[in-house]
Amino acid sequence: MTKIIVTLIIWIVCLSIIVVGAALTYTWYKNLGPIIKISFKDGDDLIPDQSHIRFRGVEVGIIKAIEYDQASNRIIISARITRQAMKYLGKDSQFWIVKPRLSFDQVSNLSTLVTGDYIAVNPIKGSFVNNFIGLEEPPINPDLASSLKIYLRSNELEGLTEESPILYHGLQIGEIGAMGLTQDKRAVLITAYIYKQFANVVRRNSTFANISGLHASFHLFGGSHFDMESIRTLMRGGISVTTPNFNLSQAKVGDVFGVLTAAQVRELEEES
Amino acid sequence: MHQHDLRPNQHNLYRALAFTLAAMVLYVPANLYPFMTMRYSGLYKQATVWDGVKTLYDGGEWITATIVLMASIIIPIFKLISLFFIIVSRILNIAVAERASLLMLVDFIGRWSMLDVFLVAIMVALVKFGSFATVNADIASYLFAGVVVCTMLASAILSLQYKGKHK
Repeated sequence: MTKIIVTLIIWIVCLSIIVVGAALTYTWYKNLGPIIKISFKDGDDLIPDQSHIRFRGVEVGIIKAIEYDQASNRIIISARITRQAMKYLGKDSQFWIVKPRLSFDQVSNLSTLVTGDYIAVNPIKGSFVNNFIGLEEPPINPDLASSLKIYLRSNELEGLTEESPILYHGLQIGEIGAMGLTQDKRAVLITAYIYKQFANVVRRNSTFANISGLHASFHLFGGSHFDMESIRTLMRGGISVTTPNFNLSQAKVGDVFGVLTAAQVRELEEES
Repeated sequence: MHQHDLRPNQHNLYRALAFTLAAMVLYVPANLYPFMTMRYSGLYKQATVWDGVKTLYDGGEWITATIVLMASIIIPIFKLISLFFIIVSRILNIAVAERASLLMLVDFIGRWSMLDVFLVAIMVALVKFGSFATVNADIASYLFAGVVVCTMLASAILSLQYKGKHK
C-alpha cells in the first residue's frame, strides 16, 4: 500500500514538473516573434546576438545576422522581434542606426561607444511585412513634424548647417532643416522649422538675419546681446528673428522670407 | 545476460518512468531559454547553451565547444532516450538483449553529462571577482539542474532495483 502512495506522490511531483516545463516551452513559443530583414547602406557597428532594436529605449528585438547582399549592394540585417512588437510594425515603420555623435556643441548617444550601435525604430501601425528599408539618417524629430515649416531665401549660406538654431532675443525658437537651391538657381532655399509653441512669434513683418560666423564674433567683441549664443553660432551658424510688432498676421506654413546676410546686417547696424 | 531472470518491480519502473518523462519535458525549455547573462558595463548578452557552443567554436575553442556540446546537449538526450527505452521495454515485457549493459553505460556516461553546469559555476565565481563584468546564471541553468536531478533519480531507481534483484 505504502508503495502505491510513494509512487503516486512521485507521479504528482513529476507531473507538476512536466506542466511547468510544458508551460515554459509554450511561453517561449508564444513570445517568439518573426524574423524581419532591414537593409542599410552600412552595417556600422552592429553585432549579431548583441545589438538590439529599440523603441524609445525599450528592447523590441535582437539582431541575429548581418549579411552583405551583392544584388542590391546593401547590408541586410536579420532581426528577431518580439511578438508584441509585431503588432505595431506596419510597412511604413522607420528604422535607423543610432551611433554616437560628437559635434562642436552636442554630444549624444555616448552609451553606444561601449555597447555598440543599435537600431532604433519608429513603429507605424499597418499591415505587417518582413522586409524594411532602413533610413540612413534619423528621421525628422517628431517635434519638428508639428512645427511651423517656412522657407528662407538667402544669397549665402554663411556656415548654416542642418540643426542650426533660430533665435529670437537669444532664445532658440526653431531650427534649420534641409537646404537646397531656389527654382531660379540664384539663391539658396533653407527650410526652417519654428517650434509649435513659438509659431506665433513669426509674423509677416518678421525679419531674419544670419548671425553665423564672423558676425557673431563681431558682436562678441562689441558686447551685444548675442554674446551668449555667439560661441555656439560661431560653430554651427544661426539665424536670428526680429519681429518689430505683432500687428500683422502669423506666418503660414510654406511662407518664404528673405534672410539678411551677415554683411548686410553689419551695414545696417553701422548706419544706425 | 541476466535480464530474463529479472522480474521487474513494477513500482520502481513507474517511478523511474515518471522522472524520465519529467526530465525529457524540462530538457526542451532548458535549451530554449538563456543559460547565462553577461553584463559588461552597459553591454549585456544572454546566451542559450547553443549560443555558447557557437561562440566557443567561432572563437577557436573547439575542444571546449565539443565538451559543452557533448555534456549538455548530446549526452543528456542520449541518456534520456536510453532510460526511456529501457523502462518502456521492461514495462511492456519486451526482451531486449544487452539491456543491462545499456543501463550500465547510461550510468557511466551520466557522470559526464552537465559538466557545463560546473563550467558556468566556475565562470560565475571567477567573473564575480571582476568589478566591471558580471555573469549571472539564468533560468535555463535551473532547468538544466532539474533535468540532472530527475535523470539521476530515474537511473538511480533503476540501478538500485537491478542490483537489489541481483544479490
